[in-house]
Amino acid sequence: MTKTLQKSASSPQLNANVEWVNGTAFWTFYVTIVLALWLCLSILVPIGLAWTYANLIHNAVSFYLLHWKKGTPVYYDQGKYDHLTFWEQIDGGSQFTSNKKFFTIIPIAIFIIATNSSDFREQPLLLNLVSLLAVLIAKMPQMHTVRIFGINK
Amino acid sequence: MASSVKENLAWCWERRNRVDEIFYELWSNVRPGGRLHPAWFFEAKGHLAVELLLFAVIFYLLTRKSFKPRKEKPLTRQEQEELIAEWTPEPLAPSVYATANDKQNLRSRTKGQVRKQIRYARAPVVKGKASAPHVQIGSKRLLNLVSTNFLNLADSERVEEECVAALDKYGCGSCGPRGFYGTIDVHLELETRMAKFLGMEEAILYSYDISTPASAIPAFCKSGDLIVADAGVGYPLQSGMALSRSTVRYFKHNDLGDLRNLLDTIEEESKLGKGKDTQRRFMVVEGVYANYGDVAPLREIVKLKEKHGFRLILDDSFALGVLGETGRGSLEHHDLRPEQVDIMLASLGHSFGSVGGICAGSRRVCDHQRLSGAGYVFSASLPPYLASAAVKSLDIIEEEGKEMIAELEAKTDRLRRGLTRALSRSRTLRVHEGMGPVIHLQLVGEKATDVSAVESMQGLVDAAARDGVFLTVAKYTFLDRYEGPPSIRIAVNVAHDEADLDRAVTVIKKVASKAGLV
Repeated sequence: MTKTLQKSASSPQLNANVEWVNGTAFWTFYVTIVLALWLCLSILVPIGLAWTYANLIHNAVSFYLLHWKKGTPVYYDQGKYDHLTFWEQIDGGSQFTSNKKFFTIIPIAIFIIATNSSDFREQPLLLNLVSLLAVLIAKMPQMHTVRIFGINK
Repeated sequence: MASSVKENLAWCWERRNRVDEIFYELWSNVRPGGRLHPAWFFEAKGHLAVELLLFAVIFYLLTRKSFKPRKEKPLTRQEQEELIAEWTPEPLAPSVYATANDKQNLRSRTKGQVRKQIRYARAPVVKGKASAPHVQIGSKRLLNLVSTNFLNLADSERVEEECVAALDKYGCGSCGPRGFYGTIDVHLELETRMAKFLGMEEAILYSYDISTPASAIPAFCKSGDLIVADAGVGYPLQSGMALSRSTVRYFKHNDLGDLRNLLDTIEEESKLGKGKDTQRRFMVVEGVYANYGDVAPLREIVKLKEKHGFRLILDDSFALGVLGETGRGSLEHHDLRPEQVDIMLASLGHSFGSVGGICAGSRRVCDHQRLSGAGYVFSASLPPYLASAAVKSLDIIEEEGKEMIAELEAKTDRLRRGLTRALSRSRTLRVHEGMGPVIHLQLVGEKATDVSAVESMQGLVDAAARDGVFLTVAKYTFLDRYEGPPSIRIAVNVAHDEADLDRAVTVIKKVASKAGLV
C-alpha cells in the first residue's frame, strides 16, 4: 500500500522506459534472475565461488544498464530523457524510493553472501568490493545527474 | 588471398594472446593471494568491519524518506545580476524575411544588419479597412493590390449587415471549443452548406485557416507514413506535414515528370521491402499556389494518385470561390468529381471574406477529425458572426457567383496580359505564368540571387506606393522552405475598375524602368 502511494506521488507522468520497474512482480523477477545467474554459474565453478562471479557479473551488467546507457528506446519521448540514465529516470528522479532502495540492497546482499560463502583464500575480495563500491557510489543521491570528471557526459 | 587470410588469423591470434597477457597481469594482482589481495586484512577480521558497514548502509537506506532532488541550485544574488546584465531581449514577434535567398544571406550577417532588415520589412499602416479595393495610407488613397479579398465580399455591406445581426443575436465569442459548449447553429449551417456547395459528403469548420492543415493533416498522417508534396506548397501545409511526423518527400513545383519519377522510386523501394507494410500514403498539393499564382495539373495528379494508391490532400484556399464557373474551386475547374479528392482544405479568409478554415471530404474523414483534429477539439470555435458572414458570402456566391467570377477572370486576364506585355522586354522581371487572381511578379536572372534582391523589389513597391498603387513583396519567415525567386504579389479584386488595373500596369512599368529593371 505504502509502496503504491509513494510511486503515484513520485512519478506523475509515465515514462514507458522505466515504468515496468513499478510492476507488481518486478522484485521477484529481479531476485529470480540473480538466483538463476548463480545457479548457472555453479554448474561451472564451486557453489560458493559462484556467488563471487554472480556478484561481478551482476555489478558489471547493472552498472552498464542502470548508470551508463542514457535515454530511452521510446520514439515518442522526443529526446526528453536523452541526458538521463535509467537509474535517473526511475521514479521520475526521486531518491530513496522503495524501488531504489531495493536496487541498492540487492548488490550489497550479493556481496555479503559472496564474501561469506567461500574461503577468503579463494575469492578476489578486493575486486568484489571495488565493483560493489562502483555501483553503490553511482546510486548515491548526490550523484544524481553528476558525471564525475565528465565521464560518459 | 589465402596468405593474407593466414596473416590476418596470425595477427588476431597474436592480438588475443596480448589481451590475455594484460588480463592475466591484472588478475594476478587481485586474485586470492595476489599482490593486491589484502590477506592481512582478513586475518585481522577486517571483513567483519566491512560487512558491518554494509549493514549500516542498508539500515541507513531503509530509514530514509524519499525525496525529489532540486533541479538546480538556487542562484546567488551576484549570479542573478550577471545573468540579467547579459540578457538581451529578442523581438516578441519573429522578424519577417522576404525570400529564401534573403534569409540565407541574413544568417551570415551581423546583428546590426539584421535589425536594419526588420525595420525595412515594416508594414505600412492602413487607415480604415485594409481589404477594401482602395486603401488610405497616410493622406494618400491607393489602389489596393495586396488584399486577397478577390470577390470583395469582405467589404460587402450585405455581409456586414449579417455580421451585425449575428453579433446582436449571439454576442462576439463562441465561449468554447466545438465539443464543449462552442457549437452554435450557424457553425452547423455553414458546415452543411459548404459540404453541399462543394459536393462533398460532409465538411468540418476550423476557427483559423492556417491551423486547418496543421490539424487535418496530423489527424490522418502519422509517424512512419509517407507524404509526397509539391515543393511549392505554402507554410500552412508545410507546418501540417511537419507536425504529422510523417516522412515528407517533395517533387519539383508543378513538375509531373519529377512526380512520376518520385512515385516510381517509392514503388521500387517498397518492392525492396523498405518502409512499413501498413504505411499510409498521401499526396499534398494546392489548387492554386499562393507562392506562385499558378494552377496544379490536378487531372494528371489524380490519375497518378489513383494509379499508385495514394490519398490526395488538396488545399484549395486560393481557388475556392474563384476558379470554376460557379466558384467551386479546382475540382470544378478541372472537371473532376468531388470524391476524387480525399481531403479538401480551404481558407474562408480569401474570396469568402471571413475568417476560418474548412475541411471537406467523406463522412468518415470529417467525423474522424471531430475527435482527432487538434484545432477543432482544443481551440475555441469560430465566432458565430464570422460563421454567418461566411454563410452570407456563400449565399452571394451561389446567387451571383457566375457573373462575379467571370468578371474577376476578365479583370485578372487584363492585368496579367497587360503586365506581361509591359514587361515583355525585361530580362529581370517576369510575370509568373498561371491562372487565378494572384499574380506573382518575379525577379529572375542574376539579380534574383543577389543580396539586394528583395531590397530592389521593396524599392519598386515603395515607388509604386508613391504613384498610388499599393503592392507588397511576398514575405516568408525563417521557418518557410520557399525556394522560388523573390516576387511582388498582386491580388485582383472584382471591384477594381479596368482603368485602375491599366493604371497599375502603367505605374509598375514606370517604376520598373526607373529602377532599370525593364
